[in-house]
Amino acid sequence: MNDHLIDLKLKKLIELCSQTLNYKKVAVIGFILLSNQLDEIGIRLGIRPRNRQKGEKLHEYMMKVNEIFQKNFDLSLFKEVMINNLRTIEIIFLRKRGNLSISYIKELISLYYNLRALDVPDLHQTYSKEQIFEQTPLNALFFFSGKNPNKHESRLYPLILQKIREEEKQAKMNLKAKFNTEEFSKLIQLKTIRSTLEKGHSHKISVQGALKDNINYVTSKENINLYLVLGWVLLFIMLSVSMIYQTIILPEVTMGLSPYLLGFVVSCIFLILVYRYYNNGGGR
Amino acid sequence: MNFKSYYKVLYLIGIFLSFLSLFFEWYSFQARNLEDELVVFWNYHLFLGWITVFSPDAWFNEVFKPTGEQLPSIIGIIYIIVMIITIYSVFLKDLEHSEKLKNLKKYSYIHIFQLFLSGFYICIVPIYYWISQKLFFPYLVFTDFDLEVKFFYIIGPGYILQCLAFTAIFPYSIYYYYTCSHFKTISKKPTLQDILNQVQESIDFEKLIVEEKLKLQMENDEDQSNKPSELEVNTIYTKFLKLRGAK
Repeated sequence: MNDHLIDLKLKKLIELCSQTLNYKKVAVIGFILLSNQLDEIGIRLGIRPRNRQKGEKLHEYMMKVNEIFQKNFDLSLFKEVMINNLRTIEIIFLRKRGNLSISYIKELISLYYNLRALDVPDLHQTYSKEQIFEQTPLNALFFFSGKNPNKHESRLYPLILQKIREEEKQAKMNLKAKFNTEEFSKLIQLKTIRSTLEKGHSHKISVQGALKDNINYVTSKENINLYLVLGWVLLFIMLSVSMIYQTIILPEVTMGLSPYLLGFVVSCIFLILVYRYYNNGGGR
Repeated sequence: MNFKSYYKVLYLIGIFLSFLSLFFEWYSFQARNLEDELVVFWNYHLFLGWITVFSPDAWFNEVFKPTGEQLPSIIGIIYIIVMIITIYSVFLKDLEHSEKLKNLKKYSYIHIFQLFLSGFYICIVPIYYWISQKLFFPYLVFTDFDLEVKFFYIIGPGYILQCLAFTAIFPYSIYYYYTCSHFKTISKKPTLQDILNQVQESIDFEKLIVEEKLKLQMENDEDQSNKPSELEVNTIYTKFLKLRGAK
């Protein structure tokens, strides 16, 4: 159900409940909406949802989210006043078994709309390294250096890391002043890319489903022809090494072995040239 | 059949050749006298060691028996086990259709180990077991004029088959390893909405609204039933007036 539809139905329900004086129903619905909104915020940020089974209260969950935020970004997502207000309403709601005064119900609904206004970005969807580079101004560094981000990137790492740290610092300052979805998305991306660069990357290509359906795989499996050439190269190298060792240990056989050795070495060089030619995209 | 299947067939041929090679002779050391009679005959088999066609009484043959260190046959047994595992992985654990490449990683290492073993037979065995015993490699004919004997040092079909097997096995084994180490399959991630549907408490607004409407309606109806109807009021009023003399 989209937010607009929820608003219309909630309005209608409040109107009816105010006529029937059934404020308990509005209070319960208000808490359910608030709980759902908090779960959505948590999931969007990649945090577990509220643990209802263990009786985790809404204000406790908000504090948990804030704690994670504080640790990771040195920021608080929910204001202290907001949490305190909710704590008061929640305690009264639980003690009085859902009977809340109109003023508290108003406060509850306004808290719900305040949470909705936060508009947290969907970080549940992770970003690939390439996406991050494309979406941040960092790719300009690679553009000016004339390098591909995937190749020779190690030399640029210190510079990039420094740039990331500066941008992170700026984003944090902006967010402390005022929460902004775009700024927050940027901060998360910067943090992700920094940790990727610092920890190193597996360079593994992620494939969803079976390999046969992936374009990267289909392209890469053509390399199997080159492996055949490489196999022969290795065989000739191994045979040549054995013979060279023999000529060192038993010099008297050098003359007898030289035709074989020459044949293997020449074949090996020829195959290496073939391998290099096709590996560099020759013949395509 | 696509080109990858050709390499799969080539791999199978390689494994077959490799298996056969273990039961053929790997090295042959022979000597013939000037009358071209066989006087020394020693063949090397991986599992049997040095064998000869002569009886132990043939002293000249016994004198030339290679006496150096022999290749432990356990390596051959390990190689056969590795071959069985790799065949299983290639034909029963298909790489392309697998949705969990992580599970095939162990097989990719076994493929590489198989190549190492094959390389060991091709490169280390001649260096460590033959050349050190003055058994020339790969082929040499040497005449000893004092003994009036011509010596033949020659690698056997087992070794040649192993060389051919290496080149046949190599492409698919490396391809298998490369694919397992460069790709990772990830299961389909649930969307945000999927997770929210599981986690969030659903609210049936329609039901709640209808309930309140009914309640309101019932309240209205109750009020209506307690109130006297217009006709009833008029009748009472008329009676009241009549009592006071109205016509």
